[in-house]
Amino acid sequence: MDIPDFKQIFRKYYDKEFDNYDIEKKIIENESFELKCNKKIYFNEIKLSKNIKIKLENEDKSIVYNRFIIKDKSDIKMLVINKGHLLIYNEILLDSNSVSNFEERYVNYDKLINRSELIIEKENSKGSLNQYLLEYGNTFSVLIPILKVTNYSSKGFHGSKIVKILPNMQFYLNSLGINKKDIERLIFEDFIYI
Amino acid sequence: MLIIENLNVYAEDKKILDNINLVVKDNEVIAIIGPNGSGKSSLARAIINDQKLKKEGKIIYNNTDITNLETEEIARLGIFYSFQEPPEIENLRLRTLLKFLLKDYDENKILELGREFNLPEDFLDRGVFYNYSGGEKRKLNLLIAILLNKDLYIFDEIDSGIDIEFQKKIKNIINELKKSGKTIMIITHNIKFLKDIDVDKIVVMKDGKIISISGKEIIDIVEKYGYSGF
Repeated sequence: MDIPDFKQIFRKYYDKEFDNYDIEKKIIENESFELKCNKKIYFNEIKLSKNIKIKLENEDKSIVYNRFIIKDKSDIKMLVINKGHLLIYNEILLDSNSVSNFEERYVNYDKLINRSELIIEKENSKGSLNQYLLEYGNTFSVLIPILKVTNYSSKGFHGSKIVKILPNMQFYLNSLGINKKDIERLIFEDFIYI
Repeated sequence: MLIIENLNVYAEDKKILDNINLVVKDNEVIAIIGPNGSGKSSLARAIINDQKLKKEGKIIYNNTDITNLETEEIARLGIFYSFQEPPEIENLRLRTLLKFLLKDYDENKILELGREFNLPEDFLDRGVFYNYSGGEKRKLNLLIAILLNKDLYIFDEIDSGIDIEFQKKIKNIINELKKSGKTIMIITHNIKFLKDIDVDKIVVMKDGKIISISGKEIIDIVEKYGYSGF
């Protein structure tokens, strides 16, 4: 497994401190997993042919690199709760004749930099990458979705959304007797449901 | 009982309701009709204290002055307003919302109601009002209204975008709500909709003013002559 050049990937967001971090490597096959990050560089190679869920929590300073290799059909739901400084790079590679929907949900309380690349180079494949972001407090969030489809017989889609409680939504929910604090709690509860 | 006294309402400094005086007694069904822009929905939104509106006058509900009460507190007193155009809340599932609101959350009963209302099978898993047609939103509004079991219902254009068959169902539901002791305000510009409803009073609004309060006999007059004669 080759570790990518994070300095290049995250450019201005990369901190020199990361150079001294240990690297933890894992190979995962067709399994849902949870990861609590703690001052390390995590490198996960994930081979998939079925649906999985991933939960990732960071309270310190970490880099996470997930390399997904998808054969046949696999939907991935990933929830990231960040309360520290997190750089996360997802690379999703689709094999030929594969279908994958990749959904990323980020709850950010602090500093989050994400780059997710959906790469479809092989034939007859279809993939989607959807990102949702929920922010609390004075946060710094950067989401960079990248789509690379180089085969004419394949298709790819991507989108990013920031979850916000707009004034008309709040007014409606207030009219049902729900106060602002409870509205935020309900939205959070639903957001982390994957 | 809802009492509205000398109510003036302003939106962005423009007067949109002018000296409204109205009493809605308990267990009464009152219809508010009038042409578009006459102030019907503004009156409803003033009752639930839409912060975008500035008010003068008083609104009393069951001896509590609710004129400047927070919207959620007004709701907790037992008032339900079904929005004409409810917001689409993609990131809040109806199931989560109802579980929070209902002490006796009964999923089977809610699914049964959903089927009765021809709502999509996955309506509990969808975001609240998210990706629904106008008619479906109205149906969902009604479903939420029934489940919440409030005392005063304000239905704003609940018949809009609804087929005739389902309109009959809505009328039956309103009549049943009345029988069970609820108080109901129906806002509509479709006067025909009121025909089979046990309406006690019909209030006609025009240019932000109440211009007539009468019984059901007004329906034929409005049907024949419109609002121009008022």
